[in-house]
Amino acid sequence: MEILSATQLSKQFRSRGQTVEAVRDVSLRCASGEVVAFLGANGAGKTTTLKMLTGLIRPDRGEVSVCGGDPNRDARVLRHIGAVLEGNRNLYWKLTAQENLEYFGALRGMGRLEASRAAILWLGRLDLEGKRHTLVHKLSRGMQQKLAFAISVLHRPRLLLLDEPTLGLDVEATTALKGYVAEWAAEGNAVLLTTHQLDVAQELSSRVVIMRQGAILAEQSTAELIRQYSGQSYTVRFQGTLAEPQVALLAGLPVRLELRDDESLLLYFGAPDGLYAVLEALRPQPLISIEPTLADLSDIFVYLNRDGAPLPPAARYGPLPTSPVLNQEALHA
Amino acid sequence: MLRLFAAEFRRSALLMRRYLGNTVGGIIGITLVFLALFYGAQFISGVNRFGDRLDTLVVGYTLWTLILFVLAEVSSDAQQEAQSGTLEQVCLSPFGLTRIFVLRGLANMLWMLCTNAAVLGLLLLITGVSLQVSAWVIVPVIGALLSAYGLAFLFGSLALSAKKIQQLLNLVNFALLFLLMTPFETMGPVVRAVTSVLPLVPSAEGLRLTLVQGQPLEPLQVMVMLLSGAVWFGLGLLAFRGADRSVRQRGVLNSY
Ligand SMILES: Nc1ncnc2c1ncn2[C@@H]1O[C@H](COP(=O)(O)OP(=O)(O)OP(=O)(O)O)[C@@H](O)[C@H]1O
Ligand SMILES: [Mg+2]
Repeated sequence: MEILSATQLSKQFRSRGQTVEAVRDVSLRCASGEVVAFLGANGAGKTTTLKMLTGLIRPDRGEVSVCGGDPNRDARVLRHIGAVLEGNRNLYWKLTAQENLEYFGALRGMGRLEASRAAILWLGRLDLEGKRHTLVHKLSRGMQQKLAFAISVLHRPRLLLLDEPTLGLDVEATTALKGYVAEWAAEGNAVLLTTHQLDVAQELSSRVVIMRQGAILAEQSTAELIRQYSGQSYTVRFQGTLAEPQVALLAGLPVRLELRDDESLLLYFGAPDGLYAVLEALRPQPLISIEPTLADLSDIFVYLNRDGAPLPPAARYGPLPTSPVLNQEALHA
Repeated sequence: MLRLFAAEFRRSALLMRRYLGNTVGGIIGITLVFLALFYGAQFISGVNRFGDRLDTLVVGYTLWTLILFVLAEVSSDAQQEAQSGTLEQVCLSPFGLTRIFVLRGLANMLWMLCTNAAVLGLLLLITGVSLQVSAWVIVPVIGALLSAYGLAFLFGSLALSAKKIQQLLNLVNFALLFLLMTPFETMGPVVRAVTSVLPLVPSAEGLRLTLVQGQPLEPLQVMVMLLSGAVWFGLGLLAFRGADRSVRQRGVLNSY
């Protein structure tokens, strides 16, 4: 069942005479049971898009529908939405953890008893029961982040929007949070999250949406995306420092370099026969090894998001053009 | 709605308790300021010239401090919450920002009235003034609170969109002191009619009439006070809703 659908969202900001096109023609869908990861560099427009889904920012153009209603027009639709917003201090510092939960529960329309029970449940789950009666400003940053998560799910929303939910969490808390997000989706709800931790996205998401400069660059099932790039990537190890012309040559190729003193790495994306051009550019560096690699999401992300990568002409809804096409373009750039 | 009000009330009670020191300090501070102003003025002028108007002064001053509290409430709330980021969480409520802030105002009003009653009590005790308390007092108090909340929401809407309005608020506080303390009713019917359009003026007059002179109010006066209160309150709410909309349009709900 489809829980969220947004079509052709656009937003421009004007500040001090300058216009910023923060979001251009972004369309999104999120069905029940799905976790969608929203990726993109700083300033790509992720937060702006998320806020347009909740009415916190009014879109210039486009439609939002959450469980059949538009939160920009009808605030009652917000009952179905829970959100952890960026900046993590969305809590009252002079209230305790429990009081914050109860208050925000009431703001979402919950009864006192209901909110108080749910609060105790979530504080227990998030390992915060010892901090129930502690004022929020005496909680650590990670604990505050956990509390913000608890607030977002307290009223059992159908759509959960998480803007960098793992920011500041330790390893254990990150694992726990991932567990709850997966559980929440498995119960038939929809989750849309942004993150800069690509391992989190890779593990949790069933689909990724990559944004760049306000537009959607790629959208695909996570497994499919990784599979597509996996057969298409090689790691080349070599020695020595590269000369200027070599670097210039490589800049035009679909590669990513990690230069080190002893042994450098080159990651190549593309069809196997394109590899020869890369090797040609590396000549005469001594090669150590060439191996096909299993791409992970961070490699693909960096590759798709590199400078000079072609921007999508307009909103695209559906799979990427097959990778050989992308690579051909890059090869002849 | 009722649930939300109960929650707001619990929250305001908790905050009240946590800031109890501030409140008590505030009550003492406000009383001291009055005494300093009053006896200071007497000392400088060398004559006891306020003698017959002391009761008017006490009533005006108490009203003024009440209005100061009310006036700062919505805008400082909006400003602080925009800074800390809680405003966005509040805006995610299906009840809507305006309704939540109105209920908050209502919940806080009880505490403000208590604080204010304490100040008035202290002032009466120290100055030895006695007031005529009748049921009529309720009308100007309601009128004054309505207009004050109207103004508070007007400034709240400024705070939402401009964020920094402390300077302006300081200036306005003194303009209000003038509005509240000036007995426009003694300046002839034309002045009286014109000035009753201003916020709070009819209610301040009503308070002087009832508390100081112990007069009952005429139906027309009651109407003017309540109408003025309702109009200013309505204006404030309209402006606040407009600001809410424009801030979402510009994407500046949190302080950017
Ligand atoms: N209220 C605003 N006024 C002006 N410009 C804004 C406003 N909000 C966002 N922007 C601009 O819009 C663009 C997108 O910002 P956004 O916060 O959506 O990025 P993001 O993808 O969330 O980045 P990050 O990963 O850093 O959180 C940026 O260029 C930002 O400067
Ligand atoms: Mg962001």
